[in-house]
Amino acid sequence: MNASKLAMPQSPTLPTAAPVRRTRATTLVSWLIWPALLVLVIALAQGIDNNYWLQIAVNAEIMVIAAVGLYVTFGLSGQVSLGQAGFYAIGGYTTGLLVTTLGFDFGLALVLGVILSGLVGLGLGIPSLRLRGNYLALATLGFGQVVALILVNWTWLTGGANGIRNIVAPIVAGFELKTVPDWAMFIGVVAVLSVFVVTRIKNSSYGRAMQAVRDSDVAASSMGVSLSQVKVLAFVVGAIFAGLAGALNAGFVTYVSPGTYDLSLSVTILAMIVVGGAASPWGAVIGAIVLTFLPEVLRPVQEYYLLIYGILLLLVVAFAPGGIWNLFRLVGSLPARFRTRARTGDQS
Amino acid sequence: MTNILEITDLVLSYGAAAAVRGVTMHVAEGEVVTLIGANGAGKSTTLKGVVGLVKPVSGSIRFAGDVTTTRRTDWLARHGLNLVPEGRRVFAALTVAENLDVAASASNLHGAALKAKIREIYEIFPRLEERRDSLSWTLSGGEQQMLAMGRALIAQPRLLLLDEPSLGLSPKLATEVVQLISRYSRDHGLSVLLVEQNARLALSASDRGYVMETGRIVAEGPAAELQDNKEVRRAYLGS
Repeated sequence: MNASKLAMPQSPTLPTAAPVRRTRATTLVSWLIWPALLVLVIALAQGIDNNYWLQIAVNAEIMVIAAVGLYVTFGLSGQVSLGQAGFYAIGGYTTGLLVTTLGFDFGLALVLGVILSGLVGLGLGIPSLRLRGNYLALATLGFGQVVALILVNWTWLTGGANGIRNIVAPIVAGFELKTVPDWAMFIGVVAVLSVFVVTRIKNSSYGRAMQAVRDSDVAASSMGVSLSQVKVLAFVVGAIFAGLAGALNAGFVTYVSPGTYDLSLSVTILAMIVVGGAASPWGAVIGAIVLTFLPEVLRPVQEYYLLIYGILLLLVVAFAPGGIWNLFRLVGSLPARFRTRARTGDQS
Repeated sequence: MTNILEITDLVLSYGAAAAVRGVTMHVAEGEVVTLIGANGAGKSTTLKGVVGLVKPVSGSIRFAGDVTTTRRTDWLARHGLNLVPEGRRVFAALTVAENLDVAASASNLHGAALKAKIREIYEIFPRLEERRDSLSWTLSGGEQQMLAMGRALIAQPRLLLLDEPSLGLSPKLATEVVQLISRYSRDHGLSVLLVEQNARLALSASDRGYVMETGRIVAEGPAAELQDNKEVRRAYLGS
């Protein structure tokens, strides 16, 4: 798949739903949404009886974390990454190794795994500064492949093809997640917090600088925005959230093995943003949920799954380049537009 | 009068193609200087060289007395050398107010100073205040040009470089925009280096001018003198 051919975020010529952003009017709603989402994920964790579907829901929550992270890298700052599986693997393996070999608590191992992902992101982000578009996509793709090869070949560290098993530890001393609903609650809350953090980043001065760099790096730098700082920061944020998602996944499924962390995972995470919509963190959320549940829903048609998946991706890129989120917004803005037209229509 | 910008024997090239072949020019404090010339004469490239978007092959650039030839664009911008690039380049997905915010945080403006500065920009360009919550891709060409200039002024330039501000604007709006710049310069002592294809308009609003042809300066002098110069009239003023 050629990532650069996918819809780049927020092309200015596309009709998007709202040319005016009413920040003040939506403030109350936009704060109430967070407690509402927390209640929702807790209710889902307690309310879904079917263990199988609850596990899928947890997977979706984990992918939401990885996808909102990549939203910062790709959606906000316009950098294509096809190496998110690499960061996901670093988060997962670091956590797994620290728990199984050094007996760390899961919480501490997770924090260290996330930090290491961020540091590796920094190490990859700085030399990749000069690259953009296809070239950056290729460099990150190469990074993902290197990590995948290390997972298989450094048997002394990673356990090779067997991976690491039995990653079981209390989060912090004395507090252990035992059941799937426990995990669903914990990961759900982390996912909501992740989306919250990313929306705060979007509306911060750093987030605006990222969008400025994406829309015109020449204009941004000639006003004093440091391209290198902004781009590396966006890249590291993406790596950190991918690492967090990987670490949570390791704890939830209790094992890591190299098969999980291949190119298709990186492509899927990127596709979540494209399908959901790169213009908003909610696009990433929707994309992550849709693309996690889709294979499960399509399970009865097994061999046609990839075909349907491919067609869906094509349809979105061709007919809804703003993704599902932008479709929602367009539909949502129709009544208002209709009223405006009706009002002005009376006079003409 | 001291010079805010001194360019000496500047040579710039894109790969093997030399675009600027030894340009020497200066801008004094508070002066509005225009650089005119045909398409492809190297005017825009000269501006890009000054702000470090194109690295010089040879020659030197001094800004406010310091050699800045190897400085990065964003460093220069934070130290008072700001370019309004050709084609305006507003940040399409951000609102007008957010566009100004980006410039403000990049130049470390906070609190009361920031509020006063934004007030000032809205007073110069009232239209921007009316449209402050509009996404900037929905602005008209003229409004986008105002936003691009307002954004640059927020960064508190000592020298403002403008690349073709009249491009794509109606003649009336182009005149307004260019006159606005020279008025602002007079009122605030801001130095301006203006690149224009519309030579008549540019010279009418400037103190001095340089004429550029195929990468070299071929004429220079006070704007009024250039307007009367036969060669310049024939080549660039159409009379």
